[in-house]
Amino acid sequence: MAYNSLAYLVVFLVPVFFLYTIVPKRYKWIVLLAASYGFYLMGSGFLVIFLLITTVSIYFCALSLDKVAKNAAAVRKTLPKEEKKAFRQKIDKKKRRIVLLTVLVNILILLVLKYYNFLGGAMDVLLASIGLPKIFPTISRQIQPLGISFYTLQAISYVLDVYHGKYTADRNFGKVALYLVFFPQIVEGPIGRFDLLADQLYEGHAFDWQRTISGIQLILWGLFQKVVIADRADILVGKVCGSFANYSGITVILTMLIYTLQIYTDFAGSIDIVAGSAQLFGVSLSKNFDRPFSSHTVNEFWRRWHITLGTWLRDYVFYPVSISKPIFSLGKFARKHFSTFLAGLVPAFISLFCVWFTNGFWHGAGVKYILYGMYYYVITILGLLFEPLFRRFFEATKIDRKGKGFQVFQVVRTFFLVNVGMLLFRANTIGSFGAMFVSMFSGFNPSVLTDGSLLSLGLDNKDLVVLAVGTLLLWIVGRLHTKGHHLRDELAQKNSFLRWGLSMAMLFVIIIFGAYGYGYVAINPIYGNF
Amino acid sequence: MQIKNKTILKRCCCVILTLGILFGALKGLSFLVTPRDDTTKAGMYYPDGRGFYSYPQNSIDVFVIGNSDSYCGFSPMELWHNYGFTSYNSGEPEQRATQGLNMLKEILTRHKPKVVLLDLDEIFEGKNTIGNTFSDIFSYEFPIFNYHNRWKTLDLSSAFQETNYTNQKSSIKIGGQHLNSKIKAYTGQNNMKKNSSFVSIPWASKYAMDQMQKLCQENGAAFVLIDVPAAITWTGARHDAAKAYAESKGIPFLDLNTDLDSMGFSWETDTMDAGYHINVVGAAKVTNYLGEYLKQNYSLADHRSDSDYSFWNDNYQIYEQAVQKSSS
Repeated sequence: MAYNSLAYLVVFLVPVFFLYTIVPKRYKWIVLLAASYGFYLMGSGFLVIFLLITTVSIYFCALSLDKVAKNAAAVRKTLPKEEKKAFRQKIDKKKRRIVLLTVLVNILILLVLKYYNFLGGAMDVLLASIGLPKIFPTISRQIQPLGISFYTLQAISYVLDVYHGKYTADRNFGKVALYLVFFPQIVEGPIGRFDLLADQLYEGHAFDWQRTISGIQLILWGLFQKVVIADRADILVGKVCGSFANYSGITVILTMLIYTLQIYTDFAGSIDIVAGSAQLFGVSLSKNFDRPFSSHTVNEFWRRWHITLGTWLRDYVFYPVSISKPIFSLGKFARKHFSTFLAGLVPAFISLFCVWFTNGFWHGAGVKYILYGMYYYVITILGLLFEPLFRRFFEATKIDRKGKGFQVFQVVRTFFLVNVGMLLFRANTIGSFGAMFVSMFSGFNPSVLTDGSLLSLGLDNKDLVVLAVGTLLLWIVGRLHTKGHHLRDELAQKNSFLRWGLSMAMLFVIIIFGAYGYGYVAINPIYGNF
Repeated sequence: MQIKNKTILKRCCCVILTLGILFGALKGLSFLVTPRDDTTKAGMYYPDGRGFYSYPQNSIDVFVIGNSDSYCGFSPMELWHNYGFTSYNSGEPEQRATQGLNMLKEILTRHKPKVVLLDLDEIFEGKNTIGNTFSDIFSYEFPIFNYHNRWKTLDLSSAFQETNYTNQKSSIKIGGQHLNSKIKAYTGQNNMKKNSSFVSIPWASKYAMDQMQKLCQENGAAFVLIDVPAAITWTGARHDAAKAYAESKGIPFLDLNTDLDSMGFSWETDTMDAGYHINVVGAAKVTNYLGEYLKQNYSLADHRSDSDYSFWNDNYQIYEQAVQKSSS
């Protein structure tokens, strides 16, 4: 059930909201749990078994970790000082084994269900290269539980947080289950954290008129982005990417830009629908986008784009790798044999490689996606390596790196780099990406902007106007947010007619100008495929 | 407390008023965008499948509903020529089951068919979901959701005109059949005999078929399930599932894939795209077989000597010319 479908909005969300509103506070979480599992069963059917396996595994893992820690604390008190260190190491090892087993089991489930064909194919290529027969038959239709990439990361974050003592395990199985399966976020995130989310889901929230209106307004804004802009942009992008050899120059550049617009409005729009849905129940989800195209560097971009994935990778990949014994030893070795500057970078190179490899691999089972991650890795590493050179250059040329001109240059540069990354992400194959990238520079053909060529890309002039106006509105809203305006709160202070009028107007803009229905192919949320 | 009650009352009134305005606006916009003619220019979606609007009211006795299998595999002109039965092909490309239900509802606003044949190729498709079912129900009640794209071409003055169905394209005159004489043989295995795992009919398809049966009963039409020959997409397992459903509901089920020899049908010569769709020659064979079935089981009038239906003979000539043209 797509979040932008009538079935979700009218037939599912409305009754669930009404039921949640009328049920007594202490049972509200049960409504959310039942609705979430109902939503999941409708989307994935019997594959719910994998979600249940993950839920049960992390529940008991966390409880075991707590039990081990509690028993260890009791025993440790009775030990003489000289035995405490060895005992603590023994307990740490035991806890490490428990959490490692749970994490590995869940990663294995994800790898098998999502990546089997890719990994099996890669293994067979390796075996064939050394003269051995293939042993991994290709599965023509790989089954993939809804949201497995998202809820697996959430599950791992829970057990790792308990392992590190960030909080204790929750004894309430229903609460843990609801944290994983909460229906607004199960398909596309945001990737929640137990300590920020679980209590909100469990405690139950009384009906609040203003909060409900605000949630509905956020849903409408999300629908506008997804249905009016993203799904319309897909028509042009699909046509050009599907027969890329026929296009070059400005057409390809424009397609690249429009795809970036598409993926942003598709994902951010879906997240707004999801956040608005959660808000109806008094639940505040983690922010996932923060004006990413105003970023000055790609690192900043990834702190503003898909924020919850970035912070997850930072907390559960980057930091653990950075402070691990092997990296520490490597750093020591590097300091002995390389310059101070390089020695300082070596641990970062390894940690960042792990982050970007995971980022790319998480996005899809294919070399293209790994390359996508490596693209950002190379940019980051080059930035770190050449930083001393850049510093000397700016000192010599007296260019003010904090000056307005340079800031604008940085934003434009980052925008270009991100767009190239998006082209790689969208291209059907690495080869087609290469061909499209080269074709952008193969001919300067600005005449396509005025000779009607653009009208042969699947969108007529009225569609292009809608796309342009939609993008302008998006930019205006973004600028207002940058200047500190909280639009929904400000709208709440205006008179009723204006409030209701604007909301109804937005609803009818979506109904009339949306890219759905006859003549359109329904577009699933891009990140919903993960 | 009084202020709180007043606020609750005010908000309830707001909600009711909003819903009322929303309902009224949706109905009003639906009225504006609903095509007044069964042509592409007037905004009608897939006019070929809706060409029955251009025929005299209550003049068509047999309808075939389904996806592209149906409008490639059934020939209203052959049925007319050999049996004198009037029929129309109300298939749509990639139609899903609930869209077939909506098509039947549209048909019943204009005709009183004696027999409705549903081609079952569409009922197993993955897009027959609960979500799409509700979308289709809403879209039928509020056509603005289907025809909202008409904002690009809508002429408000025509929006208030009476409906006047004028489509006289040859594809309409020959009953909505898609003509293709190309031959691309299917040489693969017989999927009817292949052992394949059990398949189930999606809930959405069952719902649509239940509703179609109910509508037919209410309107005095016989509801028959068929499957036009389809080498790739139809299997023995699908046949079994369809048969089980048909028997449970007391609906006649005619699987044309099980009697290809009687029809003289061959996958070597009678398919245009290696088994996905049948060509015009195959459609003629299928239709003659169906015609015999209809003649034996239903009291359908032979209109060939009825002067009110003489234009069907003209339509048949258009069909013959079109077939010759596509063969050359």
